[in-house]
Amino acid sequence: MLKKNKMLVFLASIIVALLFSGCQGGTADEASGEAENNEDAVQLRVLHSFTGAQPQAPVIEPAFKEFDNNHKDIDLKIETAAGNTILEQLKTEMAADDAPDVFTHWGMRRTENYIKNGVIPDISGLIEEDNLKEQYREGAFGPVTYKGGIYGLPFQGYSYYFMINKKLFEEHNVKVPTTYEELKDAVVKFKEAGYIPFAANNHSARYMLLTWFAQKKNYEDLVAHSTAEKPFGDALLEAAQKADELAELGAFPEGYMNMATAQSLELFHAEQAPMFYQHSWTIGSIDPELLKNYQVIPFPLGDSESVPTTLAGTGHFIYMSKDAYEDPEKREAAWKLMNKIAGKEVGRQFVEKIANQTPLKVEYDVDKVNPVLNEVLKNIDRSENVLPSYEEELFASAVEGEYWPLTDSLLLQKIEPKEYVEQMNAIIEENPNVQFEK
Amino acid sequence: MIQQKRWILALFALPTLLFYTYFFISPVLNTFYISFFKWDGIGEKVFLFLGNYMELLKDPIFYSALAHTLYWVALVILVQIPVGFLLAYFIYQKVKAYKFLRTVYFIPVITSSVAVSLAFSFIYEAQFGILNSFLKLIGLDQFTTAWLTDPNTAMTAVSLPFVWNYIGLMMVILFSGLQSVPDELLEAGKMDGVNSWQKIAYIILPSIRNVLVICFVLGISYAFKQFDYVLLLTNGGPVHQTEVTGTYMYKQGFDESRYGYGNAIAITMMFIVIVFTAIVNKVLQSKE
Repeated sequence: MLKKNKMLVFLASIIVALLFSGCQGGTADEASGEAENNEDAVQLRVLHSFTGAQPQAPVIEPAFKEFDNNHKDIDLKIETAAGNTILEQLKTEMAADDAPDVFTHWGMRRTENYIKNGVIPDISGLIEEDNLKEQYREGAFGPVTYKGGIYGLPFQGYSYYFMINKKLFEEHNVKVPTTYEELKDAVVKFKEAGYIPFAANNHSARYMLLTWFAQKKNYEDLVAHSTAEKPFGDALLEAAQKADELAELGAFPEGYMNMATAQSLELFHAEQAPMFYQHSWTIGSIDPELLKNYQVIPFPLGDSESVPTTLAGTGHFIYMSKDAYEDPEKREAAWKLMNKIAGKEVGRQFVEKIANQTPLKVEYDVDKVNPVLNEVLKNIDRSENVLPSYEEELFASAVEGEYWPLTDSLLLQKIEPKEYVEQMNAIIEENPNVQFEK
Repeated sequence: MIQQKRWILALFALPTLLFYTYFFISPVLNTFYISFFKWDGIGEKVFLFLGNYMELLKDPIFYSALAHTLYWVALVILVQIPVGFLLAYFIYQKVKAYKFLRTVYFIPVITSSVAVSLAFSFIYEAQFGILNSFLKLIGLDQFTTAWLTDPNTAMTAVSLPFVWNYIGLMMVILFSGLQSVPDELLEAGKMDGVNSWQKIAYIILPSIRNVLVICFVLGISYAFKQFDYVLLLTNGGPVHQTEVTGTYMYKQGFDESRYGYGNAIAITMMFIVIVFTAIVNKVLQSKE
């Protein structure tokens, strides 16, 4: 009986210990700084998404840790929500009126509601005071500029890049496409040879559509369409027809609609597909042993009126909450932290260590940079037209929920390209981008 | 004295009552209240009265999601409960190692839906998936497809993990019901010369009617609550073709920041489940 009781007590203590460890793990990483023991230290609660298998984690996580270690007067409580899960986490915290003091997020397309409701403060005064604008590339603040105010500091750039497996092109004697017609030929030839022409998911197909559209536009045109000042017309119709035609030709893998981006990259790695058009965050995930077979090429021109164009800009930003901004001590600490994450050193590491683009004007060692990123950057420099992507920067946040399924409907041939253009105009009419209003 | 004891008894019930009110009644009332507003979760609430419900009545995506949810309910009634019953009846026969089998059948119930979804995503994957590879291996290439994208297969493919997951639960509930069937009834049937089918239809099923009601109510409410398998396998896509009411409600609330509308969907779903449950109770009780 006594033995049984001891066993029960033992089991109960194990359960209690597990419960406590379960409650502690995963939520807050009480970053190891000496400030923990300093009662006067300013406490900052930080939320970011660059953890676990996220390609940016090897730079962002150590940067936070280093900041915490170097600032005895600031105590960071770091919380993480990997990848897109930060969307729900931040929404819940904002709705509960418990915003983190500092957090990372996308631009206006996902923070518009917070900006409109005043929970993210305008930091243009702080930026001017420190004369920070000069250290960033032109246009870097575009996605966080809203009705004349600036709401975040940029720290990650993006671009869409077209990569081919040159070995497969040579083996099958297929011409590397420079125009849409040549791309169609390549699709047909690879399809006949038993390949999936594009290692793509629905994001890639959307990026293609946006790029063909942008080849006939300039920045002012893009803004005019996104603000409903000018309706979409022939350029979007032609781009939609091209995407629709490629889908009909079987250019994309079976099940590409639900395919994760990393999965589509695996098709490219496995040499089941010779072409790949994706967001630049994937560069760091490319198998280095296969790099010798790969080549980055300019996106094929839609027609004779199209201009070589790369869609590129700034994708991620660091923000502080209004509550932090209104507390002078917290504001100072948060501003220091934001400057660290959106600073030149982190920017350099983004390029050299994790093959990601930076919106900062930084010098880096070209030899240390992933060869694909080097080619992507050269390709951007060569492009006559470098424009922001609609879905990264210019569509109002309410557009995304409707524009993605609408484009999927086009690719699944559920609607005609003409209907696509009409419905896009209706969506924009209902949710125009108002960030440029004063 | 008796009156005093009643007060003491009521005091004992008070903590549970408070707990229940705080964690169940008040969120339901709050959901109901917010469903009358247009609210993005942060800014001012704008009173719309029945505006969200009127919009819901005209929302084709909601109807399509509701139809998909009803398909899940149909799968519960036509597949999950019958298969659960067959398994329960099988182990009720006290076949060899029936205790082991009972555990094996129950394992999916205690497996996390994330793990189950991951396993099924490996099975369904269009390029390298187990199902398509197997079909190719046995020469049935023509039947390979993108299971989670093909409009003909997507809804069934995404619902199968749920059906499989809860069969074990139905089995355990029905097995406990089978154990309560009086031996005298079975003996009497045997003496009257009933065959196996007659035994099930005229003795066992009527005897476990109350247990069946529990299975139906649980199955229907689980089907309406389903959300995780869809979110993890397809996220309701492509183009809402696997959307169920649970995911649609979640997306309206968290993706679109339309908390009022999301709450209106939640209240409507609750109402539908209550109606369904009442019908099941009425139908099965009226036969008593």
